[in-house]
Amino acid sequence: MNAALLVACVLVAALPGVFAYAAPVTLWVVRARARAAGVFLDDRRALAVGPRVDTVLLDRWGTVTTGQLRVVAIDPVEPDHERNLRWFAGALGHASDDPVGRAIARLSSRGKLSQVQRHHGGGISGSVDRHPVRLGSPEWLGMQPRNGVGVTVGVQVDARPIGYITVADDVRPHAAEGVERLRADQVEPVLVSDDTEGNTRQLAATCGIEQWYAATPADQREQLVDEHRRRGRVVAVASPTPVPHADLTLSDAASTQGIRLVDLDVGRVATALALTRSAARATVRSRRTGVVLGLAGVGLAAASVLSLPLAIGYAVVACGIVAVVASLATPSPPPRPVTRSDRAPSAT
Amino acid sequence: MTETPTRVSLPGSAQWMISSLEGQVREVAERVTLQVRTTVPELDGTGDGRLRHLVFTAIHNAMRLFVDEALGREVSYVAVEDMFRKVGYRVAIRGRDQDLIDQGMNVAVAELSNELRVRAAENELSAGALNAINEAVTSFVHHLTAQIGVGWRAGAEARNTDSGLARSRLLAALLSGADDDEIETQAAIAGWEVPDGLTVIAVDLPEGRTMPGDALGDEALTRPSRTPQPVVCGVDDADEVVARIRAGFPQARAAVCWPVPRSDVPAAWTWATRAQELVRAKVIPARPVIDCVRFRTEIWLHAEPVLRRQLAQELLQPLFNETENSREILSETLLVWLETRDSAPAIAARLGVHPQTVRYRWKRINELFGDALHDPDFVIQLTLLLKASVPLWIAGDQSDFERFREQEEAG
Repeated sequence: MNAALLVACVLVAALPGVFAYAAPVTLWVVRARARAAGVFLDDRRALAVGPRVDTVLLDRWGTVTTGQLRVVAIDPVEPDHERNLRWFAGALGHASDDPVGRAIARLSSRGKLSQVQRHHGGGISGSVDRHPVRLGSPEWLGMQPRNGVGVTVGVQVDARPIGYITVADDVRPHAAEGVERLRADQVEPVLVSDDTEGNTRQLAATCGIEQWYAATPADQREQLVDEHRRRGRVVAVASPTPVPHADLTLSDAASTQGIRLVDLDVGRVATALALTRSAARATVRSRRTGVVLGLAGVGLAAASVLSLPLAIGYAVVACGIVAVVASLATPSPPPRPVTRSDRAPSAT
Repeated sequence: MTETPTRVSLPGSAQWMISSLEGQVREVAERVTLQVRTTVPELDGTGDGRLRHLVFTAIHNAMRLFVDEALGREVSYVAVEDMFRKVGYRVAIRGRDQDLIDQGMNVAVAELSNELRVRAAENELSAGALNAINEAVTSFVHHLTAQIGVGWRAGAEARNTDSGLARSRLLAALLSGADDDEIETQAAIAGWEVPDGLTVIAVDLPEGRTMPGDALGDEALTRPSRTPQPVVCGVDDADEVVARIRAGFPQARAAVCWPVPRSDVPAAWTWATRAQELVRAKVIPARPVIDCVRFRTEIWLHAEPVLRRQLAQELLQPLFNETENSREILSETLLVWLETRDSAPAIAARLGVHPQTVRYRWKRINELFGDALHDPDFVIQLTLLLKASVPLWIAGDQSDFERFREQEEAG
């Protein structure tokens, strides 16, 4: 065997090592699997940061909750008024653009609504089938205030109070599982909410989250992220609104930064972070495998064990092995799609 | 106007014979009148009782005047002359010829002359005395015939030149419920044959505008002096007349009453004008032509506005404590329920609201009226009252509510 042929055999036999570094097989596989799980890993930086994340700030809206409120209690002043309460409040709720109003709107169909007015800090008023209806805080309506979990609004029809409606967070049925998966992956879930302390505490307890921040609007979350980072934490934020100082952003909005998710379900957040970890592990494994097979091929070619056809065959088989190892990046199971039967029974 | 009558001057024997007639003037006058009617039936007319009576009165009074004057008493011709002029006027107004009157006068004179001859024979009156009587009678009749001529010419002139006024009088007679004689007279003057069935129309015109009396053709009677302006026509001509109103007066609104007999014209006028009032009160929708038959219930229910108001104050008191909006929608719902007794979804569909809204309103209504809604008499009164009142309230009439408030404050 002349020297040129030998060199050629050695180079061909070394291809698996080159292939392991040059071809992003792991990335392709992970991205494909992530898309199937509703996770879009288009940002390479996110893949690099994801495995290091040890704290995730979970926005109340959309992560452990469905992003909506739901009616949890209907309390008419007279038992006969329960249906009236549902109908008139629900009909007026259709004109509301806040989460409380949208939750109440689901109590009834859309009626003949007119003269709608929004009263800052009070509530909403309008005419339903020509009856004047007001929906808002009990204090604004001159009704007895109610204390408890969730948000309680009073309802007046024809200037007469007919009852109260309480809405609260619509907790995702598998929120606790998602939180548990994060914790199992060594990621500390932190709940951040714009709601009251009592409601936030209740929500955190329901989902098994130990660390929470109440009454924190979106513009105060940067400080929160900075505070965690100062403690040496690598912080991811799962929120509908991006938080620039975060190491990694998980969002359901179209963005080229961070990880985009079809929704912010805490289970999906756990899956996304698990995928980044899995991808990192698979990349290391495939590179090691490629190097080992490349070196073995070089040795065999140098020892003239492999002729040129055999070297080519070896390279093809070895590259295949590298690809198989790269594709063994197995993420955690994706969150189940939420169905109606999964929802906790509500007061409606 | 006419020549002065020649004074009757008779010899003593003639006066004595005439005095025998004094106690039987009425009897003779009736016989003469009967003879005139029998001999000249055209003068009597068809059922014209007023003219018949006028003829008898004229003959009777004329005979009485002649007897008094013959017996040397002080008399005045004025009343008798006027009466004979009226006879002539009436005959002319009816479009009859003066020859008819002359024939009637000849018959009367002949009958009277026979009577005098018989009495002259019975009293063995001399020929000279009888001739004196005949001459006096001839002169007297000639004078009265001249009065008839004066009246006839006046009537003929009125008939030829004053048909517009006559039509107005006929319209007024129809609307005021005048008796048939009067209507026939006015109809004859106006030359308008009154049909059996009539249509009465109340026309509301823009302020300052009127329809001239001849604007709607010969078929319709109208009179510009009233508001709304009345129009009366035959049933068969009603569509044509309404079309003329719409064509000639596009801004007018006509309330057309259903066909009525002549005797019901005043009532029909009341109904048509009430329909116009209800249009103004927004109880009846404002359209160019209001077909009153479609709104008979409303016209009937609003016939007694004071009674409606008093009943409303009494029976609808629970509603008066509600706001204007609440009162309106609760009463509207209650009325539909009273009328239909339907289910909540059916009532809701009729009112264009959600069924739960109807259930809510029903709960409120039961709270307001309580057990009274189980009393059949109360329910009937309430139904009629609401049927009359709700459209008023919806149209914005708050007088019931304001009156209630005033009473509350005063009481």
